[in-house]
Amino acid sequence: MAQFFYDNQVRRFLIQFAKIFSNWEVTKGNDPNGNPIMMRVPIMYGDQSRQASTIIANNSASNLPSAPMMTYYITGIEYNQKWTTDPTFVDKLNVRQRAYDQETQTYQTTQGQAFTIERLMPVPYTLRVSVDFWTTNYQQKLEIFEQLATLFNPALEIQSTDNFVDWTSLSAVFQDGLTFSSRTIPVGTANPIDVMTWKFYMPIWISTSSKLKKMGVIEKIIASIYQGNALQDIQNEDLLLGTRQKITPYGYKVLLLGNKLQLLPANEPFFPGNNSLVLPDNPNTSLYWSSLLNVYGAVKPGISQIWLQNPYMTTDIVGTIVPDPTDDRFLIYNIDPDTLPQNTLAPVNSIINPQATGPNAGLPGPMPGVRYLIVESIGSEDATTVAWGGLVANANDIIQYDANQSKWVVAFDSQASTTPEFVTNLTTNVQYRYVNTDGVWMKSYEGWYDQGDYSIVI
Amino acid sequence: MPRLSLYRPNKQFDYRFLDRTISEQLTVGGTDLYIHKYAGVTNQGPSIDATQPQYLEPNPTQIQDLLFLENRDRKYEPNIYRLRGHYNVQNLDFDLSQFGLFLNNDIIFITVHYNDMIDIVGRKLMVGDVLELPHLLDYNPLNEQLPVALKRFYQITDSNYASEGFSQTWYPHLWRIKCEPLVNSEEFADILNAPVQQDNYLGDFDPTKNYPPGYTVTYGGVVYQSTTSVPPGITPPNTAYWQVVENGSLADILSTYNKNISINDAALREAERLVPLSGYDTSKLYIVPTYGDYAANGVPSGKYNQPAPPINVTTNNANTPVPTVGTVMMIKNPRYRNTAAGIRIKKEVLKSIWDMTVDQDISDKIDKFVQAQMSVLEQAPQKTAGGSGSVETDKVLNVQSLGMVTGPYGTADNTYATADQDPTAPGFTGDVSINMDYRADCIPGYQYITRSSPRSFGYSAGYMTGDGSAPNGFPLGTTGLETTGAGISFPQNPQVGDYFLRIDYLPQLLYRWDGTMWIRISENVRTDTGFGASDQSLISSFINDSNQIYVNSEGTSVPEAQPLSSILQPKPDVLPPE
Repeated sequence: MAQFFYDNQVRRFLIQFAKIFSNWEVTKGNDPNGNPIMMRVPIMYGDQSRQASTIIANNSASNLPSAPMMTYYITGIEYNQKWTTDPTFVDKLNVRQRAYDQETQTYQTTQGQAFTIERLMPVPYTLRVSVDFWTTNYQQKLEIFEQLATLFNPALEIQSTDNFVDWTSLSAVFQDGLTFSSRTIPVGTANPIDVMTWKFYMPIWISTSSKLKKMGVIEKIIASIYQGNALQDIQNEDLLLGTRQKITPYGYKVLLLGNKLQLLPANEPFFPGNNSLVLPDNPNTSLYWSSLLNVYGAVKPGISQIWLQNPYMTTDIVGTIVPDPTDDRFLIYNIDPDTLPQNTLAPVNSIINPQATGPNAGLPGPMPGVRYLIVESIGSEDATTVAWGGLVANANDIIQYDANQSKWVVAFDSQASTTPEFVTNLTTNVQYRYVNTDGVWMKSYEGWYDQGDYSIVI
Repeated sequence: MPRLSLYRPNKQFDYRFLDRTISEQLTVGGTDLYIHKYAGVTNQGPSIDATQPQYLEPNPTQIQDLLFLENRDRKYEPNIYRLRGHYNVQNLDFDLSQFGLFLNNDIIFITVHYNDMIDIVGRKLMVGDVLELPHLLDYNPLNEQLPVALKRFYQITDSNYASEGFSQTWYPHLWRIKCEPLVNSEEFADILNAPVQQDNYLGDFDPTKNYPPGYTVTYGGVVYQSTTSVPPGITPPNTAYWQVVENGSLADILSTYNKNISINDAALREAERLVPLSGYDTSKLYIVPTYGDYAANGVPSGKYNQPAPPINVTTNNANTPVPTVGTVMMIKNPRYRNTAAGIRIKKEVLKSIWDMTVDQDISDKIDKFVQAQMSVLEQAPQKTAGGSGSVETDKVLNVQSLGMVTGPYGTADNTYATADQDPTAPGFTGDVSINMDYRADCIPGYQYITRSSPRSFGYSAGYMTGDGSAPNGFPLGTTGLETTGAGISFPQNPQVGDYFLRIDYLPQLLYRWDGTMWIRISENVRTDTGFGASDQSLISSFINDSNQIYVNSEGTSVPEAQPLSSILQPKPDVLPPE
């Protein structure tokens, strides 16, 4: 693939250079009352093409050149060895824009897009420019000289753009010598126009293109810090990267309940914990997602994501977020089902305490295929119950009504389980996870997420 | 008998015979030259400089500048003299080694008949005289819109007897002039500033004359046209009588000056587009508001440097509901037009309700911020086992959840659901300040959000970035009283987050009230560039200083900009004109 990158960098400096010498005036004599008659001295690029010259001259030998005037032109561009710095240095700059209202064509007080900009170290050059002053008499020449002579002491700042990100835009114009006259003196005027040549130079930086990236930062930050004995730590290969510490902005935590994500302060206790079947309540907090997300950029509803890192899963849970229109403390979290654990067991209709409720006693009558996850054991080998018949099941088992046998049976024996199992409660749509070694059902992904366990992708 | 000699001490018949013959040859074979005869120096007005005396009337013997020995402001006779001359026509090349400004080799040597020259012009042609060559009139310039053909002007840069003009009598008959192309410069302004349209041109302005309307004169190098009858003594540019004639002079048509200026202006426009003000433009960048030490005046925030959320201006804290009892209330937001009915309950109560309904198949559970239909139901009295009981029914409040609020307060695309929510609609009576956002997709409690103001310019602060405006485009001033955003003293009752620009400092200083004091966060240092009147830089304040100061001793105002050489010095008397 062919390459092309051009950004008018030298041209922009020349444009600003011309501005320095623009709008200066000289006198063109006085009126009969002694009031000076002023005229503006134009400046234009000197090394013009023949055709442009012809057009300016109206393609006529009758055209009259005008004086005084100024012309400027590049006399050289040199690599500035002394200013060389690390050529591989890449500077990263995070920039947030204000939101822009296309309708009113104005910037808002809220946040728009946020970007990360990577800038490669620009290359230093010296741009040499000469300015010729074309005059027909000494008076005008000295008028121009005296006005401009006070500007470069020792240099005059120049700026090629006002873009905050452009670190190559600043330079300064230094004097580099002056040839007062093009005439050979004393010999009389051979040519009615005299040229004074003033040389200048500007240290400039030429930059390649920068990289504009959508600011996806956020997330947790892996910081490398040394703790303890630095020397030993350095020698310990396991600690070559230092001690890793997860940091989440401001230590905030999140709580996922259903499809709502709540932002929580750093000191919020996790109660009841994730290993409980009971869903926690949404704490009464005053943390607002908008204020946190504004730090990182404008949320694009349905596109921006939050990734949750569940300690029991090897992959992250990914879901898109939409600000809750009714409560700024919540985000509506639409989880990509492909990132959730797949159920290994058929869903249960409800989670029940079989000792407190039963078919036709707080629960619907037995229906074929009805399944319950029970939180208490029921039955014994030598006894039957009115509600459950001869069912014998342990806490954490899943029981199911078998229409063929017209009795309740154990569909999942928690005591005999050897692999992690996942099941969804159809009443709450909460998915639960069971590992025999833990001996308890716990919510598989809903619940508390500590600082460092979630990432925001704007 | 005298020896045969063509030379005679006096010019005699031989000379006159040859002279007439040569004159005739030039008349027959030469071309017309139109001579603009140099008359002297233009009256430059009163002078205190002995090296630049004032000349009331032009005379070719005058020298305008006795230091540099140059005549810059030349006066030419209004009459044009016609003379025959001869020169060798040569091929011309545009010489671009001098940037296309010159026809460098367009130097011609013209010979004219000496006595004819004296008879017609009245003197020898001299350096500074200007010629027109009518046979080189250009009828076909590139710009076909020009109203006249382009004349070919030359200036005389040298003159002397032509060597080929000496006859056998040893007397000269020819005058040789070296001619170079004219330059549109100060020296020839008297010729080139004359209007192309000569029909109504009355020459230099004469204060003793009366001018009828519609006629043009030249004054101070500028062509003016009388707009009404001008009595004697009304000097241009008195706009009640005179108007400047734009682009009507010979220079406007012949010279590159106007094109050079327009080319220069194009570069200036581009320069100003690229860098409208010095420094960097950070006004389009967003700064995340964070808490400072104080959330409000005297109220510590306790969240220093944490992101500050929007400030909900509709919080109705005064109506705290009774614990454990649901309170039906009309929530009234002073900034919102309509009140809304709601039930306010403790969160413990809500939890109880939620617990009761969590495992039931109820699609619209009672929860926070749901829309509910409320009605009063009568419940039949319960009887005891013995058959006794109240004879009256119990009245209970029935609440039926209708699900999350989706309307009428807004729509998902952030448009106004109804016209009366639109702050810009005629029916809206709410008090909305410009630093509030409108969120149509929220319940009334979130309709208006006052944004927290950033405490500084954050990452966007840097070299030459302050322009006097507040971060994120916030209006200057006290909340709700934006008109007091700038002045020479701070307002009396600021609120946390208010910005104030002190304009009595140079550069102006931008402050933010943090709860206990005004914190300076920026200086208004960005300025126009180019040393114009709006350039506020230090050097420009000296270069472009048009201020006047009143001097008591002189009883008048004098310019603030004064040359060091003569500042505070009494002015010398004007020298008498020569």
